Formats: sequence, C-alpha cells, structure tokens
Amino acid sequence: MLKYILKRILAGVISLVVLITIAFFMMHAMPGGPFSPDEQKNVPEVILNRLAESYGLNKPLWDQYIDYWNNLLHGDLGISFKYPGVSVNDKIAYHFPISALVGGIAVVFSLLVGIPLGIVAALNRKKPADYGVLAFATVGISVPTFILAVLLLLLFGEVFRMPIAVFHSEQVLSYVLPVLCLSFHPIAYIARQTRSSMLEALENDYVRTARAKGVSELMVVSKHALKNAMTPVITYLGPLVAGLLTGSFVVESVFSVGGIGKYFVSSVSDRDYTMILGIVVFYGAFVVVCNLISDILLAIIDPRVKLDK
Amino acid sequence: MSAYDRYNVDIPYKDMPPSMFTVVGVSDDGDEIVRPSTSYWHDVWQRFRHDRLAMIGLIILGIMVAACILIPEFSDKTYDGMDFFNSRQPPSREHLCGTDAMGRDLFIRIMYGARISLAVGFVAAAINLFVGVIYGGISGYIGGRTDMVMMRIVDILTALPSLLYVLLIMLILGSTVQSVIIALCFTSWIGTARVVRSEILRLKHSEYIMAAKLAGAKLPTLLFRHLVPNAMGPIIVSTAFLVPSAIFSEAFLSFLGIGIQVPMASWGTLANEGQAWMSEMPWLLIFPVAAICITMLSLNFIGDGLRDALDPRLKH
Repeated sequence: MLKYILKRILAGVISLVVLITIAFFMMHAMPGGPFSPDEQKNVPEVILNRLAESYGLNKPLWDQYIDYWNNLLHGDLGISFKYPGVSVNDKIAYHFPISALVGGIAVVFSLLVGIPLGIVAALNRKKPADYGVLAFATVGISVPTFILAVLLLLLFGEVFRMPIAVFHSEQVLSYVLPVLCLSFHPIAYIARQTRSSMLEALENDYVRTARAKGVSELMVVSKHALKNAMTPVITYLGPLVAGLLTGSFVVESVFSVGGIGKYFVSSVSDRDYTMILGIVVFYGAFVVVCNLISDILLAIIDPRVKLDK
Repeated sequence: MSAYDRYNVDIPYKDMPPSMFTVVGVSDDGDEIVRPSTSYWHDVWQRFRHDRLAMIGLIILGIMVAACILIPEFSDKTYDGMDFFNSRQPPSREHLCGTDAMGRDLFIRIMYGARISLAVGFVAAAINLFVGVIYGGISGYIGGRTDMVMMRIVDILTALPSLLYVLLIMLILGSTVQSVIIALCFTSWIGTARVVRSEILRLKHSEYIMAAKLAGAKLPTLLFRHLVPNAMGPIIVSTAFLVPSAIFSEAFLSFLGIGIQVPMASWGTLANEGQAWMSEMPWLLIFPVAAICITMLSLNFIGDGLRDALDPRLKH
C-alpha cells in the first residue's frame, strides 16, 4: 500500500513538472505580452522596458524558467502582473476557500440527491419513477452548465425577482443558485451510474441469498447491493471534487462568486504569467491528490480492486 | 469401400452396399437457410431502429443538418445583414425568431450558427477518431515499454482540465473556426485512444491475428484490416459521444467570448449575446439556447441508442 502511494505521488510529481514546463513555454509562445510595446501604446517604451526588467521578462527564456523553478521550490509563486504588489500565493489563499466552500456544498448535495435518485430508479425499474429519473438524467447531461446558469438567472431574476446579482458569503440564499447550477450535471451523472450499477448488483447471487435468508428489503438494498454498487460513483468522486472545489468559471462569473475559478480564464486573457502558472501548479497538485485519495478509498471499499497492478 | 472401413470394427452388415440403406428421421431441409442471413451491422441497425428515442434524435439531427445546409442558400437574408428599421422585433412571420438590436434576423443567424457548430462537432470528432485510433492502436498493439510511455504521456495530458490547454491554444492561434477545432482536439482524442487500446489488448491474442501474422501481415494491415474493424463497436460509441461534447465545448468557448467572433455566430456566440439582452429581448437568449439543448439531446439519444445497439449486454 505504502509503496503504491509513493509510486503514485512520484508519478503525480512528474506529471506536474511536465505540465508546468508545457504551460510555461506555451504561455510565452502566446503573441504579445503583458508589457509588449504593441499593446501598451500609452506607456513610453523606456518604462515598459523597465517594467519588463523588474519582472525579469527580458532575460533569456531559459533563465526565466530556471528562476521560476527556484522560486517555486521555495514555495513562492511570484507576484501577479495584473494586480501589482499582490502575490499569487495570497491571491489563491484568499479566493480558493470561497470556491471550495461553494464546491464542497455542491459535492455533498449531488451525492445526497444523485445516489437516492439512482436507487429509486433501480428499484422501480421500468416504472414511471425510473423513467422520470432517466429523463432527468438525460436532460441533465445534455444541458450545458453555462446555459443552465443563464436559464436559472432568467427564471429567478426575471420571473421570481429574486436578488441574484450580488453574492454574499454570509447569506445562505446566495449559495442556492451556484450550488444548484454546479451540482445539476453531477446529480444526473451520479443518478445514472448508481442506477445501472445497482441493477447489476441486484442480480448477484449474494443478493438472492440475503433475500432467501429473510433479510429485510431495506437491508438488502442498503447493505448488500448499494455497497457493491458504489464503485463507479467513487471513481467519479475524485475528478468531481477536484473540478468543483477549484471553482467553475461560468458559474462563478454568472453568479459573481469571488472564487478562484474566475482567474482560471481571466489570467490567461490578461497574460498574467505568474497567475497562470500558479493556477496550473495549484490545480494540478489538487487533481493529483484528489485522484490518489479516490483510488485509495476505492481499494478500501472494494477489496477486489488491486492497487498495484 | 464402405463408410465403416475406417472404424476398423467388425460390423455384420459391412459388406452391404450403401444403396440398401435409407436415411430415417433426418431430412436435408433442416440445414437449409430459409431466412436471409443477418450480418452484425444489419443486427445493429435492427436494434437501433427499434430504439424510439434514438430514432427521434436521428430524425431531428437530419432535419437540422438539411435545414442548415439548405435554408441559408435559398434565403434572401444573411447572417450579417442589418435592417435598422426592423430591429428588436419579437418573433413574427417575417422574422421567425425575431431580430436583434442591429436588426439582424435571428433565425438565419441560428442556421449559420448550426453550420459552424455542427461542422465543429463532426470535424473534431473525426480528427479525434483518427488520432485516437492510431495512438491507441499502436500503444495497445506494441505493448510493453512503448505502451507504458505512451500511456504516461496521456495521463500527464489529462491531469489538468482541457479548458486550460484550449485557452492557451486559442490565444496563440487566434479566434477562428480552425483554431477552435485544433484546440478542441488537443486532448479529447485521449478517451478514444484509451478505448481503442483496451480493445486491441483484448483482441491481439486472437487466433485470426496469429494467422494474419503468420501470413506475413505488417503492422498497418494488422491494425486497420484486422484489429480496428473488430473493435468498431466501442470506437463508434465513444466517437458518437465526442460530437456533442465538441459542440458543447465550442459553444462554451464562444460563450466566454474567445471562440467564434461576431458578426459570424455560432450558437455559443448567440447565447452570449442573448444573455446581455435577457430582460429586454428574451427571444435572443431562448432560441439559441433551445437550439443547443435540442441538438445536444438528440446527439446524446443517438449515442445511447448506438451503445445499446452495438453492445446489447450493456443495456439495462
């Protein structure tokens, strides 16, 4: 087990190194730059050169790359280009908790709704409840998040006249729409997965044995079938947690949640080099850890899964 | 020589000529194939045809494709034709989906948008299919160290959400249809490659592969003539779901304002514009959004139908 974990961490570190390298060079391959004279026409070229110098941008690319690594290994992600004087570390430390809170609620909500929906559908196979869940799941997978966000805005803002424009982290009501929007797709996916793996699990011999022994239907479902049907959901949990906790650009910008997801896109269009790399590092590490945890969890719950294959 | 000779046993009527015997209880008719033989693909089509949702999806998609090819050709309106006397019109007989603030007819813009969105979807899926089959095929067939290295590369690429790559590529290449397609293809072939690889791993020890190898078949022949056709089912299913996901990604990019640029308009661009006018002219939002949702639904229905038809064991 320990050997497996170490191996996975090593693989994760290697992929992070490669990622940072790709992102670093792709970023510098983008036409223009934060201080390029073609784009900043109002600033004299001397000043632009000075700025570039102070950020180390006039050094050879290779030296900049080494410098970045040097800082990174000291835990320093650098100073943002867009927000002068603010370090990327602070930026992430400030905005990530907001995203993580909204995303965390969305993860819990999607599990609490998705799994029961899937179970209900599986137990009522080919009955109206099943078709209802299936229809919802198909629509949920087909409607893109950005459209859902806009439709929710239209519905709650225009029709119900709810205050939607401002997000207050203290108000419970502010969380309703972002969480609904974030969890819609996962709910649909989880319900679908749970339904099909429950159907499969219910056909197993041990379920028949349990029923024959006179175990109550509730126990059969919750203890025997469900535990075995959870494998695909847990596999999905790793990417889900990683995706939701780090924030979604659309949901955060539509509902003006001040989370980290917004910077994911805006830093690229702002050419905020240090911010882009900081987010790549942070996000990459987060994804690697999430996937590792979900794999270990899977091995604990389902001993049939061999960790070191 | 009688038929009993090879048994080398003493049968009393051994020397009797076969003409003295009559066959009892077995007729030659039983072996005759009365019904037309059904091939695998015929079977698949039969199963697909009886999937009502999938057929509805296919028909809607067919209408959509025909409409977006034909209607702009025979219409006097264009996607950038402005008519300031008829701006901000709600849907009417003249303007089926209304007009926007510059008097452009929304219906025709949606039709042009359909061309872009559907083209992006199908072209991206085709490129993904091509790259995925070759990458996954080589990785799975050669195996060993090559396979490990190729799969690690893929793992590294999928460690980050593809949106980040897409953004970087879009900014390097600029906002054109081609760069949208290139950006979308950058990581999405990986799913197909993984499917192909696992299928090839399963099939490569089959007897017919051994036979082909003994007959001197080279890698391309083995791969494209023997292995890939037998793995076609899962490959088609994974490609079928690539089309809606590519359309979705393109719409998303355009919605963010980094995809297709105005006055050209994909559905994402239109939805983005519509969002700004949500209160005053809700039709500008509703029609493009409906177009996206209906298309996504039909494509997903088709994908589900294909999956059930190609691999009935998966069906629940």
